[in-house]
Amino acid sequence: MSVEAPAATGNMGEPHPRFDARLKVTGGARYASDMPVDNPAYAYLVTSAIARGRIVSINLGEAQNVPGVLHIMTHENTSKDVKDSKLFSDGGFSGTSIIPLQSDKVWHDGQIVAVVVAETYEAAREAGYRVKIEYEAEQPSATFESNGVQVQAAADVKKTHEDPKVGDFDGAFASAEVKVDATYFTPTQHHNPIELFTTTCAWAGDKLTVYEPSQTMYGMKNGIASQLGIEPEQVRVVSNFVGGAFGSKGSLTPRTALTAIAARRVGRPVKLVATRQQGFTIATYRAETKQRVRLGASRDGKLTALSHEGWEVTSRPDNYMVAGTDATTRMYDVANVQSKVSIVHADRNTPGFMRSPPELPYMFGLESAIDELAYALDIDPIELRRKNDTMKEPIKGLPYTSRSVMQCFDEGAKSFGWSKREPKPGSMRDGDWLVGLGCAMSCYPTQMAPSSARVRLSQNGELRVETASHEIGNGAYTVIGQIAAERLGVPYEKVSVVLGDSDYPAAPVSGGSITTASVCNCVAEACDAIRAELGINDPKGDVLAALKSRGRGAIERYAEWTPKGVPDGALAKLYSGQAMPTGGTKDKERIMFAFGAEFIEVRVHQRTREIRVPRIVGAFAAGRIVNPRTARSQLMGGLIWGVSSALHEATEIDKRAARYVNKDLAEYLVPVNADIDQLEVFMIPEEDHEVNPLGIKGIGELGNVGTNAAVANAVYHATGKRIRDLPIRLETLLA
Amino acid sequence: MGFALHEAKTLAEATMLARDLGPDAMFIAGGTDLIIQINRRVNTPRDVIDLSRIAGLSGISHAGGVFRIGALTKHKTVETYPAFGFGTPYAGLREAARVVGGHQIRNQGTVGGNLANASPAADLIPPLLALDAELDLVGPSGTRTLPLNAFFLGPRRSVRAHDEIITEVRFRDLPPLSAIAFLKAGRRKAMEISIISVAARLTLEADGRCRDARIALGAAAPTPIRAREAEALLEGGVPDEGVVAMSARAALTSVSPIDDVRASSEYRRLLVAALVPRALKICIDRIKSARS
Ligand SMILES: Cc1cc2nc3c(=O)[nH]c(=O)nc-3n(C[C@H](O)[C@H](O)[C@H](O)COP(=O)(O)OP(=O)(O)OC[C@H]3O[C@@H](n4cnc5c(N)ncnc54)[C@H](O)[C@@H]3O)c2cc1C
Repeated sequence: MSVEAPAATGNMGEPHPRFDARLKVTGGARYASDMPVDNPAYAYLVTSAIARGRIVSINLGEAQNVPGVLHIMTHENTSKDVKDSKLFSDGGFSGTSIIPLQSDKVWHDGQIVAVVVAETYEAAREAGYRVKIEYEAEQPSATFESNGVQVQAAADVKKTHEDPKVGDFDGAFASAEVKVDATYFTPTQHHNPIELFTTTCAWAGDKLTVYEPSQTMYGMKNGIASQLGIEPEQVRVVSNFVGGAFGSKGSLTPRTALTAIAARRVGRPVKLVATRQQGFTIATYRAETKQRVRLGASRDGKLTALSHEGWEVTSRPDNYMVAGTDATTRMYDVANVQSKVSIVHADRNTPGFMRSPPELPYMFGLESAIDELAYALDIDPIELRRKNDTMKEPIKGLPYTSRSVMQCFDEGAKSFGWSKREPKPGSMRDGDWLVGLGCAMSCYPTQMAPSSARVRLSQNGELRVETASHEIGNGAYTVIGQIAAERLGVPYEKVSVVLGDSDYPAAPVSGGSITTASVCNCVAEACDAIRAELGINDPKGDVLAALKSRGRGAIERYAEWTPKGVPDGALAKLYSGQAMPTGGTKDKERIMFAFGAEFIEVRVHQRTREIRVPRIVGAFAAGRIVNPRTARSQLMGGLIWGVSSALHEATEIDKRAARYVNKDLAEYLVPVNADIDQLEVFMIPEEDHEVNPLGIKGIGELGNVGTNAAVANAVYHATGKRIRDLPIRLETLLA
Repeated sequence: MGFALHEAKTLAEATMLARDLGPDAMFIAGGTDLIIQINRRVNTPRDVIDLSRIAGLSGISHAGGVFRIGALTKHKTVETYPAFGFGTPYAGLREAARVVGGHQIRNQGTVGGNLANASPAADLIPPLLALDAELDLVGPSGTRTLPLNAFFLGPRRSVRAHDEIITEVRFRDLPPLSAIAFLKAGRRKAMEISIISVAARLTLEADGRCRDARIALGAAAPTPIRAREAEALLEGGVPDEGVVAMSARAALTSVSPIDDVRASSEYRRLLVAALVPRALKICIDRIKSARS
């Protein structure tokens, strides 16, 4: 698809092309594993063949005989080397508390059980194949319904967890005139960034440099230090470009410390590039969920009762959860609400953030149920949403800082041609194809975290911005540069932005769609400090002329920015790699969300049940759009991923072995270009200066929320079949 | 687990090497099937003989009423060969070549490899079957020629001896009023192994009756197959909607699809029933539009 850049309307910024576009398509962008190091050795991971049990013996004889092998790490020689394994949510840095090579215990299939280091990758791999391990296997529990899983209420395991609740759900539901009571399932999914999980570690004396694609420079710096028992000052982390992360590179995985230990032992840099298959078990993933949604409404379509219960799979030792009820209980005006989240411990690796972690699965439940209610009431699904739209969240009665969801629905509906939709399921056809039109609401909390940055304006007009934030495809280089240029009235071409190096001022984890809002507000503050220093308070005043007239070579300002409502000490936490985002539903006085409306046309062949998606329309309102070109691209990617998560993506689990079976991109399906036809993105201008001074909401994760429900709703409209278990595949429609 | 790589410069050198090294030696062309099989240990050759440097095995030619496709010809070359373009009677070949993997695979994988690998789902095989193609096998002790439909024995098995090289596959020009069409069903529209593929070829008489019909199916049986009963039903009559529907039902008598992770046997049968008429209709439309 090739279309013009969207014009900047309203309060939008300029649609500059992505700074790194050319670098990326010409190979000029250096990813972590491209970074040259002197005389590297190569590591290969050996992973467990069982999901639960223990290692009885390891025979390294054959492996050690492979020419070029330098060292092999197993629990027998490494159990004391990793000092800290605390989960990020317990004040640690790791995405899992399962640190391999600590003991003979096997917690999940594909756990790292040995690391081979050799002169070449091939030798390391060959030796890896020859490591002989004998296990004592126990029957593992794979997922929901498996024997031996342990179910716990989220509120019992996490003190900060709240199950939102208000009014009297039971009473209101019992007396509701119209009801929906349905159970939904979302599948296991893996991020599968094209850039694999790689780590290169190089020691110089007691100083360690880590090249690793990461969404958290300071989290890595501090996390590695604490895992290795050294000072953070001894660690530098470099990650100038990230080839896709989607959450998978947002917390520490065990491979980093192991690679650092390997490098220390062999006395030279060690490079690890884990395989695609290993990526499924050495990092995190989106766990499968089961949800029960109950809605009660009056005949005229006013919601009176909402209950959302969720069950999520996690590993044996970790209490990871996404708890999307935090959002879904606040989307509509309804007086009686209850919710509950439970986690189900199974013999699996620990799940973690994956693009829109809470909203993607939980909005599928809510927005499917709303559609079901619309049919039960015989009301247009958009009108049902309008009827229950609200400017106040129902749980605590806090006002939305802004909420343009109905504008999104109206704008999107117009372009999509919603008015031509025949309401009855199965009533629209084109030859052998059943046509279905569906829609759903999209939402994402507006979150921010403390940030720091340094800005320098030089006499030659060059403007340099330094911050340890991350380019994960989010356009960070571009939008940060734009804000700095605009704030100081310098041409955008004169700005250079440097990111992805823990030697720069600390920036928060690039997760939760916080980067643009957090870093740009901070950079704007540094720019304002430069203006103030030069005495140019008029936004149109010539800063460069002032700099020159004062005879100065350059002026540099460092700024720290904290969003409203963060607890004291947040900046110190930022530097120790632990700053947590605030905003969204966490603020005490107001609630902040970005919204969207998504429309899908599906075609289902009446005989073969092939499913096609000829049209996708998304309309979004997310505060100030800094760059409509990169924003559209982000939203487009989200919509496509949303369709993918509805129709294609699922990690299949062998329930007997608790093992993922489709661990590559041939079997883990994502749509190809030919699967995606027309796609339109609208950005509705929205001004919201309550969220933060620049009025920026995040858009990184907005696009793929609700899409799965819109697809399922369209499939229902086409076929009359309500599919509550994703992905929707032709065999589900045949049955 | 490693293997030795041998680079052959001539056909004779390659076949002799294969003979001398024995059955643990395998040829490699583009490697897009073999390397994956080695990585997955489906194949564990001790020796791998690279054919890609042998001259004269690559490219498509047309002379004397015969199209010849050299074994080392890339799928991309088939896809972009003007005489197989849309609007020609051979468009079905392009339709098959353009859905093999993605661009990278089509620039790397070869026609010979697609045939020699003998997968029931290989996409070039059905259209070549529908064109009554034949192929040449060159071994240490000479050359033999076989009709393509006599080449396959079962999944990944063919009559080719381990030291025989496919050098070319060829077919005659189609008579006037002919067309071939190819359809492939997968879970997504590209980068997919066929769940079912269908190649149909029709040659009509001036009065609209069917002179010749070929229906070839991929992934419907242990080898790519021809649906001969369906073909027989079409031949001699006017292929109207009723006849087309009947022939689709008849095609089902030829198939014995498997259940696997991609689709159930039952669904594959449903696809055969749905895709055969679609492909035949495309052929009829193509002949009509070429005539007008
Ligand atoms: C990502 C991906 C997607 C794919 N998608 C498709 C698809 O959509 N459709 C499809 O049909 N295939 C597909 N394939 C399979 C493969 O690309 C094709 O079958 C290709 O034509 C194989 O040709 P090659 O030259 O790479 O064969 P190689 O891998 O080199 O060889 C395959 C086999 O044939 C033998 N061989 C090769 N050439 C000769 C010869 N001239 N004489 C005798 N023996 C020979 C080899 O010994 C080996 O056993 C895909 C593969 C990949 C990796």
